[in-house]
Amino acid sequence: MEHLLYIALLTAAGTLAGILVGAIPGLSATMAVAILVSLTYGWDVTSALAVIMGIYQGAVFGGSITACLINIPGAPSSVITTLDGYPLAKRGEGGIAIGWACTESFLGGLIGILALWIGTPLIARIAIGFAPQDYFLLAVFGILLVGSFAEGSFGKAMFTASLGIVMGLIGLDLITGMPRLTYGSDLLVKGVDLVTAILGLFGLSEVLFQLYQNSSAHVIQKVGRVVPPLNLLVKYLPLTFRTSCIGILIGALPGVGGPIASLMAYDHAKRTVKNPSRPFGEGAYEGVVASESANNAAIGGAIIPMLTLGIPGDAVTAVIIGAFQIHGLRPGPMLMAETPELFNMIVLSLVFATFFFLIFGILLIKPFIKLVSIPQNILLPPIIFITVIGAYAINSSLIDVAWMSFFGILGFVFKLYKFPIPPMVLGLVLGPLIDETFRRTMISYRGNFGDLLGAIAVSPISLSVVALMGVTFYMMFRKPAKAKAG
Amino acid sequence: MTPVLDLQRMKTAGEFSQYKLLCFVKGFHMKKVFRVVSVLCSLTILMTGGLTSARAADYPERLITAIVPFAPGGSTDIMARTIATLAEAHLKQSVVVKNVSGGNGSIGAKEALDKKADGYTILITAENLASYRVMGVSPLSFNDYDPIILLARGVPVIVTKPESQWKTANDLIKSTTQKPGEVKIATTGPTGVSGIVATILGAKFNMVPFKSEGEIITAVLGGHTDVATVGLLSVADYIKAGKLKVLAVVNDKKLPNHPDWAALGEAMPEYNKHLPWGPFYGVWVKKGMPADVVAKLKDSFSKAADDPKFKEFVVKNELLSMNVMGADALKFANDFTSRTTWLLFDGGAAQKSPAEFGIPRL
Repeated sequence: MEHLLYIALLTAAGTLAGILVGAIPGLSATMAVAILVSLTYGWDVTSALAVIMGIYQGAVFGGSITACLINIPGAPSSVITTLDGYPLAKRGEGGIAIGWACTESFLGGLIGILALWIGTPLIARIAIGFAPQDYFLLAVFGILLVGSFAEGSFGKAMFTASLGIVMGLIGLDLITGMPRLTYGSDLLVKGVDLVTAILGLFGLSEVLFQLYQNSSAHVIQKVGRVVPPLNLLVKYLPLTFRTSCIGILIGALPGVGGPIASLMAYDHAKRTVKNPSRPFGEGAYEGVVASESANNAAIGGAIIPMLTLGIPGDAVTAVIIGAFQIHGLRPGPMLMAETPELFNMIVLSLVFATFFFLIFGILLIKPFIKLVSIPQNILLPPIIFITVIGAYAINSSLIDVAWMSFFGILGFVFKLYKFPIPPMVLGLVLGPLIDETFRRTMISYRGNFGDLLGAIAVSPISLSVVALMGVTFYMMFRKPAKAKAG
Repeated sequence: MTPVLDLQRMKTAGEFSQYKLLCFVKGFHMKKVFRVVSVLCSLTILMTGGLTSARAADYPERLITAIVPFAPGGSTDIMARTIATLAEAHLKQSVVVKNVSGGNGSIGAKEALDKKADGYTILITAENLASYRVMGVSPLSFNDYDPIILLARGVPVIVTKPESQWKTANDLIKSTTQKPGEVKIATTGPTGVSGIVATILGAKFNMVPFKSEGEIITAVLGGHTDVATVGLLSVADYIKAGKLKVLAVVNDKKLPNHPDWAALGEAMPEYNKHLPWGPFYGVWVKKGMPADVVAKLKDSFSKAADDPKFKEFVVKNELLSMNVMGADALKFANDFTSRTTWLLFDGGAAQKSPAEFGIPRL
């Protein structure tokens, strides 16, 4: 009992740290866990795990706070949350937006943990079944969804997405191990770091844009009710459940992770919710619901391959595997059999963390809102400072600061001419994934396209992904026709 | 310019707190702040200036940065953090691991060269430095550094599913000669450990590249590829659990801890000229360090490597202990570079010939 209390306290500390780290753009969960790995070197495993799981859960929620309030996602998995969260803040409903993000992250997190607890063997088997061509199909599916963000101009969204795809290809080519699109420059060999791009595209560009507009008018945030009403929570429960399932599955696939989970969930919400509270992209609660439940559910998903196969589902779990190894444990097929109590500890820490971030989140909403009530001339300079520090901290490298500044100016120009920015980030994520998975698939079938089609035709997983794409396409084309009829 | 307290205009508590904040910020006398800051700055400059001019005999006087050119949580990172913690006790200073990842480790390796050769920056890295030049990644090589110690090396193993038709490495090679290009082998790219092992085997595989050893294992488990060459640590538990079987250990001799697995060099002696081959981890410094600094580092790190805790770490992580220093370490690195670069070049993966860099063929 005493031990449990101790674990709960450690998790609470980790969760609080995670929320703050997640909320500060540029400080990511990956980084926080990496630092902790060395800090907890001498600790026993369960204590170290409690803190790490707290940070993991807390940070994924924390990223949504700045995403909603100042349009700067604190973490890659919150990029989609800006789509509806920030419009809410612009209406003065920033507090409610975070309230939604918090409760939905909580529900999504719990559903993810439930899946981890009872569905681990099944989900691990599905993840192994994913062949190279299935990853490729999934990545292509992701690119198709970019149309979801085409506010105003579809062409502009495609432009930024394509630019993202091309920039994502810069650096060392995985397949040949040779530099690509680097023009012999050291600056380019590294490639584009996703967090650097987000810091620039969302953070620095937002500051530049605000300075450019030079508007002193600023929205007064309502500070009354921040917890979403129960009847609405119940109403969105089916949606929460569906988007959480998407989050779990995408999270469980190695190398895909939170950003794509929330993208797919958002798109799903957009297609299935008939009468959103407001149109999507203008502050629909459903948008925040989908994105935030999915990215926290993805945690449960990402831990499954980590524990059962020793394969990280995302960047954070990759570091957690390192933490395991430092403590002399080897995630893999033997871990669950040899140390079942460790699995229970992980589940327990995650449950604690989920409840703690709900409590802390609700309590922290008001102070955070106060933070954005600070006049811009005081609020903006520190944001520039944070983006520079954040970019430097990723790899302790000035190259990243240069990249960040470049993306900041690019994002500013985009904002000036109303080019949507989220598609570019998705291009950066999906571009390399498509390139890599397509070439891997083709190599695997020795360049024979017929063999590839044959393999797709007999694999149930491939067929399901293809069917999913088909349904999405059908709905894309049906919608305008319906609108015309109406 | 003091903020105006206009109670009529301030309708909300939020606005009032803004006002308070403004007063608070403007309340600072900027001149005083600047005075304090300038004093602090000059203090810092004095302190660091004093430190660098101190005699090297007092080394180390401040914390030492160990650059790891790979992401946290990877095998090199774990190795570095373990040895750094143990070396701290002998150096009587903190050794802080700094991950500078990217460019297959070339970015961090370059950073270690950009710093002063004063012993306060060291490089803990893996075998990757050998192949940068021929792959066109970077002009760096082991020649740009002095070895402090080579700590340990990993052993790749060739694995397949238990129900596979192959029982030995010989069977596998035979299959590839009968049906060239049919057998799919999962690798981490042509320059990765598994890619080079596939080149060593010299058989006509269909090499399917993946991002990490973890992904390779899933590919074999899921039946998406036929065989894989992976570092032993990544697959040890799968072998124990009976989910994968070993065709051969890529080494000249059998492993002391796993005597029942065949060694490639013993089963097929024609491969011995390439062996031992595998990842190795070492501590390096920029050339031109003061001799006493190098001596101190060598002494501290070799003591750390002799620590029972480190030995336990090596065994647990399925590595082979090396503890090679000085000329032997240099020879090992040079031989390794020769083998690797010529394998890459002969296999068609390298962009440039090793001969361009004066790398001899062994």
